[in-house]
Amino acid sequence: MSLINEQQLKLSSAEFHASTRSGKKSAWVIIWRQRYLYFMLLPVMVYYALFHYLPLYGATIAFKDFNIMKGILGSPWAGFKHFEYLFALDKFWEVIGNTLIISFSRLLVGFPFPLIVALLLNEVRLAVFKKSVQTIIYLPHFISWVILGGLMYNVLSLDDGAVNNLIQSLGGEAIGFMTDEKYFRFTMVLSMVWKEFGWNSIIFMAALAGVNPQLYEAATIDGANRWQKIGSITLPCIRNTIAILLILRLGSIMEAGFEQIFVLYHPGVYSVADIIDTYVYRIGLAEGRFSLAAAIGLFKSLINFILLVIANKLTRMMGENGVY
Amino acid sequence: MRNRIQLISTVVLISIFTLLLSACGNDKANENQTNNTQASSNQTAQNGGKQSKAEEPYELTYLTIGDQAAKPLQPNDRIIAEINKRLNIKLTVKIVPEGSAEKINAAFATGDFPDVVSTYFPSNSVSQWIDEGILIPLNEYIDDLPTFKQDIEELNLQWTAVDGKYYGYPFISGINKSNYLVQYRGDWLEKLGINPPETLDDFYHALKAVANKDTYGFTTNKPKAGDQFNAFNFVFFAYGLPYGDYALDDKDNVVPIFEHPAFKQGMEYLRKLWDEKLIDPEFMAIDRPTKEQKFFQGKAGFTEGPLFRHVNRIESGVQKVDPAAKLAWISPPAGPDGKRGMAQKPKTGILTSVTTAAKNPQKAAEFIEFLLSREGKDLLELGIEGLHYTKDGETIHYMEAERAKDGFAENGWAHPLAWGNVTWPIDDDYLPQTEPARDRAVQSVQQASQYFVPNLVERRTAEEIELGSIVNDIYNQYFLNLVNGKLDIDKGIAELSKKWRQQGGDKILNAVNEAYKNSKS
Repeated sequence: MSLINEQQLKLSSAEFHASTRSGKKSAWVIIWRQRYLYFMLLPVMVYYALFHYLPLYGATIAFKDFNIMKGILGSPWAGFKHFEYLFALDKFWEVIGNTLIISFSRLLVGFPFPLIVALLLNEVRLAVFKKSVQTIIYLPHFISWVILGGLMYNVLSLDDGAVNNLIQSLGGEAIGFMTDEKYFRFTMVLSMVWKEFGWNSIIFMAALAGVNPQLYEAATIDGANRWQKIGSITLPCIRNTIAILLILRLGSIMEAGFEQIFVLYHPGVYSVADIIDTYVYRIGLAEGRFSLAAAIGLFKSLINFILLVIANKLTRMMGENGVY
Repeated sequence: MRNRIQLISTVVLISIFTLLLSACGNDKANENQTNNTQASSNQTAQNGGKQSKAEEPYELTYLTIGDQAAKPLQPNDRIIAEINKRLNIKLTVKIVPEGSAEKINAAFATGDFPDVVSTYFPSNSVSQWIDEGILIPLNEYIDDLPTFKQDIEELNLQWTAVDGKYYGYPFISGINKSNYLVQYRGDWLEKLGINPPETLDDFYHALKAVANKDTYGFTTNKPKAGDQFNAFNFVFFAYGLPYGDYALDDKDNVVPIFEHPAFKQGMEYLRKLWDEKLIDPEFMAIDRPTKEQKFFQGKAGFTEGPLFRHVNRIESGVQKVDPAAKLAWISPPAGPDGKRGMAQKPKTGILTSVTTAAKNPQKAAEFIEFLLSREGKDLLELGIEGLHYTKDGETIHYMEAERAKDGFAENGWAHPLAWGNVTWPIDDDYLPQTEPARDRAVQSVQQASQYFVPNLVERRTAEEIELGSIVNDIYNQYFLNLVNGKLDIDKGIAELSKKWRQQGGDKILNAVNEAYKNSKS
């Protein structure tokens, strides 16, 4: 942007107002005038076209009997056969239910927690302490679930797991955090929140840094305490950021954390832990039933899309900007 | 200024487009590069001079499943060079990790077929490849494949043909031999003055004697994804379950094993073990290596699993923790009527097939025959005489340093191409001469092979292939809840029966019943 002459921008702006009078032709003139900016945009558009829009035609195999030799386009149409088969399966509704339960639990616990942490850190005045805490809480985000899965097994195992040793030394019964259906989801949600809360607090921290300090100064002069400042200044100022993040999270509510669950689940907890993504992996890739897997994936995307639209609508009704 | 902007924009654009397009392009160059590191295409260049110009080596790609015990392929592998020389081919080998058939499925789904492929079968994928004509029937080449033909006849593998056509070499491990037994810490029982358990009662008392707050009596591991859990089936066999796959009701109809009275009796026995904390409560959550680690570390006194080539490995494992430890094993414990059984006749294996990508299917079939032949097995097990080993009469001297350069596993074990595709050591009676505890390893197979339990139906039906994983997941979940007491045994079995049948079991039973009736007529 620094390369663009300010005067040139002003000229372009003037031309834009003029062009509204002379119709479509002048729109091309504007594009031509700002062609370098549009050129810079082109790779991003090509990227999205190639990797996000073009592959969409592959989703059609959900409505086809996919034949490898004939390819996606040449495979015969099968209508809603795969969907009908899926909807008749108890397993399908089970994985949908698990996905929603795990995802909403993560949202309920995992969404406000980083916000609270960011608010607390925002109140810390000792820079060294603040930075140390930030570094420590960001760290788990950079460890893969494969490593963390092994660590979790060692910490939560029934034999010699540190947590169960502690429980037993206090006279309690060992708990099957990873093996008992009752505790498995709880373990998943808590470990996911623990891993990501630090990282997720970054955006809130950035939003908090943008709050005008003069507002706090004015509130201090007016005699407001810290809670009042948080309630009357901080939260209202970052309300839009919170709303947008919430919409984005709702838009991906059907993503319940494939990597984590894939590493930690086992046949003994399938009934509470098997989510759409792990099921798609098993029947799609491991069993090679690609059309069926695509049907589940498409169904999942549809729900995500509907949730995104609803969340955005609600946000706009509440007076916020929304994502579109 | 304007020119500068133009120049910068153009450079940035070209860079980004190049990046994007390189990501989209067919990755032939990369593929070749990868293959070079995986196998070696240089070997052919080294040996190519000996081939006449008229007969250019045939470029053959082989995609196969590996084995945890195998070492990775090494660059400039001299065994692959030797195969190239003997068969006049230019072999590229790609190996996916053991149990990772999904990588092969993904490659096929994108149209990336090798000339020859080894993958698990029967499966939905293999059925699809056969239906779509991706795999070539090898019947017309079979006269040129003497070992292939001989194995089919000697091992009675005719049932693996689809409508009389062999779509590959069916490697079914453990058809006539088994190495699965109940293993235990021999030193512990000796110290306690307890004889090796013979019956289920003895077994219970032995578990009770070895278990304490740090040690479970028995541990085992979860099944592979989609498979039915069967580690405790020896208990059901002891109570009289007659077949490994299904049971028969009073009207001679095929029913699932959990509808046989032996299942309920066995489940009551297992519940007792669970309630008295004699079974590792994590058994459905851990994999085989974790189970073995628990056994090595003395967290369980008994376990089950394969022996033979594992005898020395397991014993070394326990002795690393406790030098005085001894690995021992027993036959499956007998039930109240003296019945016992352990190994089930396998219905699954690995199919090595030629695909439509093979420009010269004859050559591809000959490559499979070479892997099966004594000549090929000797090359892959021992290596090249004078280079990887020397012979002194019947005694073989393994040259470990040279073998390591070509990816042979340590202590006389085989080349990566000899693991998990067309043979396993037990099927080939292969044990390195230097293997410690050879005699005990051989004895374990003799003992285990006495306790085979037959199947009611020889092969898997199409319905079992399609719906098997769904009903197996249901069975595994109920099995755990029946053992751990979350479900009442009678009500739980009735519920399992209803759900299992509803979610595909009835379809499976219809097909299996038909196959069973056909096999009798």
